[in-house]
Amino acid sequence: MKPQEPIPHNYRMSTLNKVFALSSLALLALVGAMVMYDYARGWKRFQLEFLRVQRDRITQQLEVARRATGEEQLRALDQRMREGEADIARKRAELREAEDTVREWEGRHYRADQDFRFAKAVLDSLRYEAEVLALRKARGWEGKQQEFREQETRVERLKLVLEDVSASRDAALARRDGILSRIAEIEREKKDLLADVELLEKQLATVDFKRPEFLLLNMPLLDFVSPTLKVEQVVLNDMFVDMNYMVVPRVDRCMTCHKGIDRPGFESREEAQRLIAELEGKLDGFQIAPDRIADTMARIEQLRPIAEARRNLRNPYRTHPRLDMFVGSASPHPLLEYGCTSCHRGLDRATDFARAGHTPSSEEQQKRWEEHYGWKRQPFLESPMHPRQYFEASCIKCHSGEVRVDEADRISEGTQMIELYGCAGCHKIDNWRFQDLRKPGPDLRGIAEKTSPEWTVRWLTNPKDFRATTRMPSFFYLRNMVGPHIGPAERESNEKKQNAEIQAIVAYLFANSTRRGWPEGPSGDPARGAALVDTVGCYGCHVAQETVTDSAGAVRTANRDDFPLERNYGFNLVGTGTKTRSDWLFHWLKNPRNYYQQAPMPDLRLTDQEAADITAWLMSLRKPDFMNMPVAPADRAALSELSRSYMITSMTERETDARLASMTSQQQLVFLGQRTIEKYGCFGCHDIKGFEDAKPIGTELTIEGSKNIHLFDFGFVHDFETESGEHEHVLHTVPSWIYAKVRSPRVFDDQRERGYHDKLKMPNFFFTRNEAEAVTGVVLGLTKDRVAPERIAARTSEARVAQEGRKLVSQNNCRACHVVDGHGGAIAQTVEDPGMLPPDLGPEGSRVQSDWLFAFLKDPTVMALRPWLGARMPTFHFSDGEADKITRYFAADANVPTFETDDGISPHPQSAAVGGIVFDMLRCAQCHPTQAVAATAEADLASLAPNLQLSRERLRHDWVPDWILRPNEIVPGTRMPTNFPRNAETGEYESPLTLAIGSPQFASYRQALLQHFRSEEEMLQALADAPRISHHLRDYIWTIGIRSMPPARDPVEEPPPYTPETPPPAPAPGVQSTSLRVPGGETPGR
Amino acid sequence: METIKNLVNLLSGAAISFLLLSFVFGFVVYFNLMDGNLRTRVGKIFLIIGVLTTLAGFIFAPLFFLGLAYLACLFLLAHLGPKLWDPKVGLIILVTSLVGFALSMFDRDFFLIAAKPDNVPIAAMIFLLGFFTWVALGKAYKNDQQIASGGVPWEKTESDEKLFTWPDLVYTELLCMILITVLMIIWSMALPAPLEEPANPTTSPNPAKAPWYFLGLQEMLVYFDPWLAGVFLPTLIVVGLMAIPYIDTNPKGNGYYSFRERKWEIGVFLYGFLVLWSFLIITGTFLRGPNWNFFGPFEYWDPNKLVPLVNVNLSELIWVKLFGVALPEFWLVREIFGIALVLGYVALPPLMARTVFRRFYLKMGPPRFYVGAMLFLMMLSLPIKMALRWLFNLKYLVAIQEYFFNI
Amino acid sequence: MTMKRFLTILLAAAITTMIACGGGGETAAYEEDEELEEIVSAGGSATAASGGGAAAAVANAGTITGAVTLAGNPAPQSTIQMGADPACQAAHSSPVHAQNVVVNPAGQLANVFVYVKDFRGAAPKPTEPAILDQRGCQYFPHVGGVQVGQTLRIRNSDPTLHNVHAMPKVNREFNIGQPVQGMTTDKVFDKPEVMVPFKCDVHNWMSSYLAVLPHPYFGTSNEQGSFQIANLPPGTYTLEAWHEKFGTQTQQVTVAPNEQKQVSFSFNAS
Repeated sequence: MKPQEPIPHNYRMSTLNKVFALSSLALLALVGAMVMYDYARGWKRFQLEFLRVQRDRITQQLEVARRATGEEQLRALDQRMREGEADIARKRAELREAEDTVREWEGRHYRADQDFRFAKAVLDSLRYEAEVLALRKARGWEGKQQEFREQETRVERLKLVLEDVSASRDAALARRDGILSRIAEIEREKKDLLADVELLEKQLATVDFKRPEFLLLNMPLLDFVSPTLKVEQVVLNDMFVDMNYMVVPRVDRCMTCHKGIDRPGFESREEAQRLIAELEGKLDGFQIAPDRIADTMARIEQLRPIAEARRNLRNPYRTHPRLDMFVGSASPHPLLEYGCTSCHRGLDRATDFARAGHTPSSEEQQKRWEEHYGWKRQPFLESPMHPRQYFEASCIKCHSGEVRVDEADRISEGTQMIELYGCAGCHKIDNWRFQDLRKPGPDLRGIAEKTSPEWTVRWLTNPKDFRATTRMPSFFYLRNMVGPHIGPAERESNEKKQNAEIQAIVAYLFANSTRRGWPEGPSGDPARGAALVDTVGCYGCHVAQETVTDSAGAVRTANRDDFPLERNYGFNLVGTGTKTRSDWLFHWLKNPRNYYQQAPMPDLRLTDQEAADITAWLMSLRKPDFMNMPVAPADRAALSELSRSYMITSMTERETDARLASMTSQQQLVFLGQRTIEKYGCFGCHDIKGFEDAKPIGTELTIEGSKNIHLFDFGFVHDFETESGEHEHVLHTVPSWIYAKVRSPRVFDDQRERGYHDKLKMPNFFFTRNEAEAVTGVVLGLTKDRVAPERIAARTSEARVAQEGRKLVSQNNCRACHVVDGHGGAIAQTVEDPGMLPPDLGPEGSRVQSDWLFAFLKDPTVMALRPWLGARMPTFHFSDGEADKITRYFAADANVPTFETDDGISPHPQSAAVGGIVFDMLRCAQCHPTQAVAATAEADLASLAPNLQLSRERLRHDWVPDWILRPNEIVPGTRMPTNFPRNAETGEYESPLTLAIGSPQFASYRQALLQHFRSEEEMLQALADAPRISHHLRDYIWTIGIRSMPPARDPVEEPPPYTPETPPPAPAPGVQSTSLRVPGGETPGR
Repeated sequence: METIKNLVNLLSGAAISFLLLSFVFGFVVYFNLMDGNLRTRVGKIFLIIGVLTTLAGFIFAPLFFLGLAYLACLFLLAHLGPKLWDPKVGLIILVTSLVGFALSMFDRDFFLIAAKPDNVPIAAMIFLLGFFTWVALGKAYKNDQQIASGGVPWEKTESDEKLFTWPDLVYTELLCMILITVLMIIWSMALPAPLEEPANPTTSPNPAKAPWYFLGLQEMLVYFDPWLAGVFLPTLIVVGLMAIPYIDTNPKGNGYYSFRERKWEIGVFLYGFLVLWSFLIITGTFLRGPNWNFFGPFEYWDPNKLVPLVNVNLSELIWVKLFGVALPEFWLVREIFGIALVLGYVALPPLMARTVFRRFYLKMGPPRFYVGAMLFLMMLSLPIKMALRWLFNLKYLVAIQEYFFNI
Repeated sequence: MTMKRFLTILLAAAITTMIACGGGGETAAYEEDEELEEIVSAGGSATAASGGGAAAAVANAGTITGAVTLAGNPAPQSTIQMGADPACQAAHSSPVHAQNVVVNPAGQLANVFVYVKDFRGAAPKPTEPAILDQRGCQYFPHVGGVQVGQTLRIRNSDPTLHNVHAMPKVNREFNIGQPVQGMTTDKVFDKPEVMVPFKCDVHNWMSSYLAVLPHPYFGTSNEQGSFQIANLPPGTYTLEAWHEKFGTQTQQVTVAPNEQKQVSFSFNAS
């Protein structure tokens, strides 16, 4: 057959080979790249950087330590070492011999020991066999038992042998060591000397990232074995993430990059400076337990170099700024239990800067992040971190059961604002703190008894015109009605409608108001009234000024944040004369409950004359020009248009027209009024007839904080001017939205086309930046995030009651006059002489006996404790339950029991006697009366202190000596002098008496005292012992105390029967008045 | 610039683009048969269609642009003639389209959608589809010419010579393997899948889209009752595809490209695959935005965009609009017209067998013909329904809510 | 997107080198140093005593002497009722007048505290302690000043209990009892503050005001309403005159070397 001709290739092999070579090289390279891509995680860079930081720190410390270790000491040791070695060299033969014996005996011991142990093993197994056989009653079990017995004796014998052997081995060892002892001892000394240096060197070795094993362990591909650069995490079984389908525990990996977060020593410079100051302050104030003092000093030493360091450490390497509160293992929120994201939010499992949900707190920070870490907003992240100003929001998660969150003042303030401004009146907040709150607004069921429709119309038009500081928000003529975005035509019609709505509301209120006639009180003297208001303490809750002079000396209208929250609790007294009727006012002052059962104002037990005087003064505070403000009558067209807009929902066009035609304009007003009140939800804050069980109209806020962002309507707003003319910027984030909403509630209507009734309804409170931020913080904190029940604060039944009490303290505005848990005492603003201030209730729980406090709360007149105080403790008419709750709160706050034992019923007479003498020596009686004081002109009351007769019934037995020892530490700024100053170094109390007793004018006391002591030394000893003295004093005080307390009585005169059902007389006065006449409107009954 | 974008947005509107594509496709088929000669009778028909559409534009504006675009395509193709299959021309077309794509990328809205990692492969798919169709049709055209001039297809001449498995086959396969792997690695690193929020039953993403290969079906849901578009038609597609070899018994064109020898088979299949399936996928991917609203490629996907829903059922059209009486209570009466229409449509095959498709009927024999015709009609029902929706806002031909039966 | 990824890949290479040689990104952990400068300066300005030139200052020091007058006639001084404490009453034969407004017929006002408000530079350290004496249930001086770090020796010269209650804003508040005649207590203020009010809670009328200043350049007007600020380094200063009832006044003075500068303040009653 013929040979086949060569078949040509389709491709040029050389080309194919080249392509093959290139492509496979490319593949190889890419695989490499792939590995690196997987290997190169941002957090590794941070961890390396942190190692470097650590290295620097340790090397610094090492230098210090090296300098600390005395060189010559070391040299001396080496010298002795050499001598010792020489000495040993001399006894070489002896040593060798000794060592031989040791070796020999070690060998024997080993054998003996082994024999013994094996024998025992055999014994155990034999016991087992014997038992089993015995159990089965099997043949030959006696044999086994025999065997067992023998083995027992063998073990015994071997034990003896072992003991002998080890004895002689120890002897040998002792002999050898005896020879070597000198060197051994020197070496020990040297070790101690170099201890911390070596420690630091060890640490340095661990952070050295250049040593080969480190590189090896962290090589790409090799690092699966046991890398030192690795993701770190804590699993938080009590903090949960809601994954929609299931709730899983949080796994925080933040510390992968924030490695220094829980280690002291990596603070920022500013932080270090702050901490040093704080700690030193504590040390000076003796607020640190003696056993902790050393550590504190050490900590300060550690911080000092950082505070003075040239370079400032930056995040993520820094220590947590509040290690005492968070993260620190000794803090209440240790890292292992609370982690990071349970407070800061963000994506717990993320290890990538951008993914973790870091939120910049400022524009420039955002820029820096964008260029440094490739940060960008995470559209898919449902819970990004709160910006800095809202960190506290997360406290609520666990502390929702507390009235105030200590240390979280912003949140506490926000919470109280929500209570005071009645947010919960319109917005359901299913949260203990905001439930069963008293309605913040006054009762309107009797408005006609109190004020006039003319005033009310003007008031509603814009409350701020009457009172710049009022808490009543503005509902009408706001930006979405008459703002710049509204065209002239629409604006005009809106203005008409708004006015009509206002007139309507007033008409409804007055048509449905009770009209009890209040008899006029006696005529009073304004001057005296003014004086009274100043003294009895009205200014704790009220303000009576419209202007303030700021630091520059310029006078401007006062606004709310010129005064503490407590003083805005009551209304601004200016203008009362214009607003209220004197007859009503008189009876209101006499006892607010006459008018309104839930009246927030307490009963000051004013006499008729006092009440009359104050009334006279208040009525003299007028704002005539306010009443001159022109008010257009309700526009007929607008009125009927609005009325129809409501009717049309339930009737046809024609029916509506018929109905409207049949109604007088007065009836229309009342009808519209009812619907308008419904629309704006006035009943959220006021009691209004006909709305007793109306439901709140606002959005529920219970889980507002975890609402998804796409549920918020941002409208077209990016930048806007607030009503106060400040510029605000709205980011596309939930916090920003809520803030904008609180700041300017109707801003999201800007540039929107909306029907009159579809426009936003939320009134404007004119919150300042701070106020708005505080409120926003709280709303953000209301989330659906869940934590394990045992993490919830104040959850025990006892704690619950205490919190209830605390709530009452907040609701009744006790802080207006008293300082409670470090806040309040607002009245101090108006009292020059601190001596005339109501008492600081900081230590109240540990100070007074519960049953006394209970009685006192029920009826403050039960004991004239501080007769010199002008400000009166009002009668709040607490129910027993309330009084009990408050009492329990104070007790719990000081964690003392709420009932006392009969401590000190009979103090030891001798002790009391000594106390008595010291009492005179220290001249306690100079301030503390020991019998009822007559308030004569002579005695200047202001410099008096509580009557000690009452102490026994009032004060706690173990509290008195403590108070005598360190009054200024318990109540800073108290008038009680420190008689036993502490020694600045030791913190021991020093007694001035030892010095005093020597001086001539104390001779008599000396004699008296000596009778109670066996010897002079003993006496001096006793006098030098301040704590002991304090006990003597207490015992003396107990002897002079009265034995029983007058029973509490409830001095309320029964309020006249409250009759809301009095039919409104037609025509309602509101309609007769000129300002309310409706053009062409026939008022019925004419 | 803006005007161009707006024009593109307009033309890519579902109705327009679909019709345009259908027309052009039709012409391409014709083109393969007669070199796109516009002077022939068929050619004139195509022209007339174009002109008419353009004129119709004075009633319904978009049609105007549609007509123009269509005519433009016509003249371009006619002008190119056989040169269309010239690699240079092909390259030019490819480059221009790529450039156009690249330029569009400068538009923010376009970029947002086209550069989305999930959409990149679809974008690539457009070009691949175009390319391979072009290649296949081109080869077919050449072969047809050869055969027409009494020659043999070049595959025949090629298959006569021998080649080694190694290296000519296996080596190249190996290379492809490596290169593809390289491509995949780069891709996987360059465009990793985005990490999104945990699935939440209360908040579904907007738009909620099926995986890309099902977007065609999802698009069908717009025009058909769920059980039709979601169950019936898909099943039919699968069955149809399986049935093809048994229906199409034409032995021509095995192992070589040819169009004229099996114009119907290829034409119908390509129409189904390109225009009905791929086009719908592309629409669903790039042009369907929030709330499944339609967005032009240069349009911002505004979730607040609203389009009026004014679709009506056939029954309403006839009873209310035409006769001006209320809808009859009883569904049978109410839907009688629709039902009649549908039945009539289903009853077409025998008619076709007698008339237009007589040749096929004879060639294929009854069973094949009826099955094939049925499948064909079902396939056509989709464009028909779409057209009806666009032209008359027709919702359902037959709407029997009583039994959840809608067509 | 794509870009970023590839950057990360490059970064990967960077890391390997970083691990290998441990170099690079040294300052990443620390903030830029210019930030540091201003922080340090801010911290530094806590105590005004800084910079040198003390010796030079003392050499050609000037003196400011001045007179303080009160225009208009104030309300007659209230007499203090010391009846509450016999010991106090015993200490005085004649009725005692309050110390707040002490003005003689010539209208010369006493108890006005005049001090240099803006003294920068080194101040001589105080040596001997300042004295606050309680005599006849009154403080002496009623108005005065101490230097930061200077010991304030508080003495009780009365045979009765006094408590010394200092109510500063910035310094540490204290309140000590002195039951024994001749008893003394030493206190030191470590931050400048004008004024620190002192009062005795036992005797309501007793009050005193001490200024805490970083330098010794202050004086209190005497019965004749004259005061003196001695060996003050030359320079231009703001003088502030403080009175517990009539508020403060300030004026600029320039002191030439070895100059005897005369200044005068005039307060207005009512």
